[in-house]
Amino acid sequence: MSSGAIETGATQIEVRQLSKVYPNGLRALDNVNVDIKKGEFVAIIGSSGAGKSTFIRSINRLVQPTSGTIKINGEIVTGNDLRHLRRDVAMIFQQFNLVKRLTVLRNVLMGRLGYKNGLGLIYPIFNSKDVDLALASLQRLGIAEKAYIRADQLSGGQQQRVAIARALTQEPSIMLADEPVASLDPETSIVVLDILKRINREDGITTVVNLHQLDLAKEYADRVIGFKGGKLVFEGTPDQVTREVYEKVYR
Amino acid sequence: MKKYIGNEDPVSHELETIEKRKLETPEAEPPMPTVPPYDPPVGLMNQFRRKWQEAGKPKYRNPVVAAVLQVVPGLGYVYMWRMAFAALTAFLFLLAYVILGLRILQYKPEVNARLATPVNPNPEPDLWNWSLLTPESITLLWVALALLAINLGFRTYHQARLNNLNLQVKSLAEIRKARGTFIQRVLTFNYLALIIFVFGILQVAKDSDFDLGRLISKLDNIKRYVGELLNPNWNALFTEKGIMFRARETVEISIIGTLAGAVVALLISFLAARNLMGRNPITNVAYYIVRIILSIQRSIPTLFLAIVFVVSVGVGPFPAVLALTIFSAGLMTKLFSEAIEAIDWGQVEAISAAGGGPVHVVLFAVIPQVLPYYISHILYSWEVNIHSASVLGLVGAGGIGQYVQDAINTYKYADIGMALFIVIVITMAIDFTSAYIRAKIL
Repeated sequence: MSSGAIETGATQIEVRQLSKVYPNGLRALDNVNVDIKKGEFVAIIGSSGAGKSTFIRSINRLVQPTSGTIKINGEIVTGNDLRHLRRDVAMIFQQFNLVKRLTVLRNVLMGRLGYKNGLGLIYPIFNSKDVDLALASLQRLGIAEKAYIRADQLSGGQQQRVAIARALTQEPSIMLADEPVASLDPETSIVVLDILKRINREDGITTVVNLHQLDLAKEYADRVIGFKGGKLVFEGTPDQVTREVYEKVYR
Repeated sequence: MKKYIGNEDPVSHELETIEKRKLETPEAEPPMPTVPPYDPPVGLMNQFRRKWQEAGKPKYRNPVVAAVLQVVPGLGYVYMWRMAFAALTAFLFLLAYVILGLRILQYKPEVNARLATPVNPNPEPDLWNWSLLTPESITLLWVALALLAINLGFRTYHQARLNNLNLQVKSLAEIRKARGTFIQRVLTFNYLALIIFVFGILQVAKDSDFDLGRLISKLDNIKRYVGELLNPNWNALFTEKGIMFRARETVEISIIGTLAGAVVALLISFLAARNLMGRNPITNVAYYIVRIILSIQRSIPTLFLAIVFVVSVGVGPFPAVLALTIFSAGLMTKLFSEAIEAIDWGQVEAISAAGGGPVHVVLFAVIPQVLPYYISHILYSWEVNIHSASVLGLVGAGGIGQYVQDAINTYKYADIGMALFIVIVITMAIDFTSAYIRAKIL
């Protein structure tokens, strides 16, 4: 994987003059410049509609930006060969987005789809290596015993853990999390963020998280980025998030 | 979780200030809303209304009179208006029925005998075959158009006045006044819709030979044939190429037709789903082509298809299978593609965010979500197909319809009754089975 060549501390995601205007005229991102270093845990704060989700989704091109460039591992991201980009940039969602009618193991194996080529593009066959990897991810998140249960029978926190396991099975170098705890209770939120933080530390996976809760952002992040009205209004360490910053970002 | 201390926590600080403010300012009494004085508009109807209202007051000693005079205003003038319009509509329907009834009385069953008589030198004017091009018709038409133009003018003026009222808050009296007087409201009634409606009904009734007299005169025939149908011939069940043989054929036709249609629909439905195809200009074109073909296909009646296939591949169950395949493929494609359009898009996003290709998305995000709906729709379409399959035999395409066709040609009405009974039993059995399975899986 190309990410292995990059040392911890080097810039891994380089966003330059990124703008996104939706067809209804909404300017969701306005000339955003951000550098995210390898192995960093970045939290993005901002009120609803500030452009947090659009920013995170334009990193793996679930949203097509209107202008600007994104460089990941030194390569400019284009619309071509999205599958290679996306298997290296894993993503977890607010609504977990598990395929509810499939088993947990099958869901986690979805993380291997990016590595299937040739006939595997028509009907992918998951070999024992894939299954071992998936089971190892589940083991790491402490839900290996649920592997053969249907995904819709799990609780919200467990579903989000399955989603993280799916992301881990991609063997990514970057993990994007779009409001991962917004539909969970405070206790489970902490469990999920602890897992993300642990993965970030142990595997050195660069993690970018959208968060509503300022206290969680201050506790877990190495760096906090604040968005307001599509513009980047704050960038700094958690200690620098003061009352003035709060006023600037949320008012 | 970390706790905030003192001023650092912006939220609790704000709460404190709000609490303080609450303590400082005592709650003031909200001012009483002022009610605008009642200002009744002056007009003929309003005078009547006031009279009725006054009549409701207990100055009448006779309880019956008092009750009547209290109930009538109690209904409210709004309801009076509605009742008046309902009465008008009822009257127009009555008129239509009287005209139709006159036509019923004019009906003479001996059509052939009448054709043989010489032509009447002074024919009565036939009201039904009116023409638009006679001078009377043209005059009437111009008068009607002029009236409608005036009416349209009044309606536009009235609507503009009502729209203008929305711009600013007015007193109750002004709002009432904007509704207009009685005569204004009569002039603004939409006559065009009413006229088109009434003439449309009359014309439709005429064109479809709606004639109760003919039904009544043929009652004896109906009694005789229904009597024969209700006395079925049980011996016709198990003969060679008899009812049971044909019934089995019908069920088999419907099963093969449904399955073949389901296979075709399964492949096409992805092309007919807007959420899958609408994201890319090339696939969007494919989507529209498929939709156009489908709408053409749905407008061809199954019986026509069966006739075409009977002519081209020959008599027997095979043309019926082909006709049902095409029909149910169209039906199921529509149902399947609607099921696909209703899926949770987040799961699609998750698969593509994990690096999955378009086929992966269909296999792992779309099919698991729509599979129960597919099975349900296949069963539903089987129900529809068993109905169709029993009719298709009438054009020579096998099944129980074929038996009925043969029986009609040889005047064996008792055999038709038996066939009908079997059709009812089979259809009900399949309907119940399919409804049971569908309730189980959904």
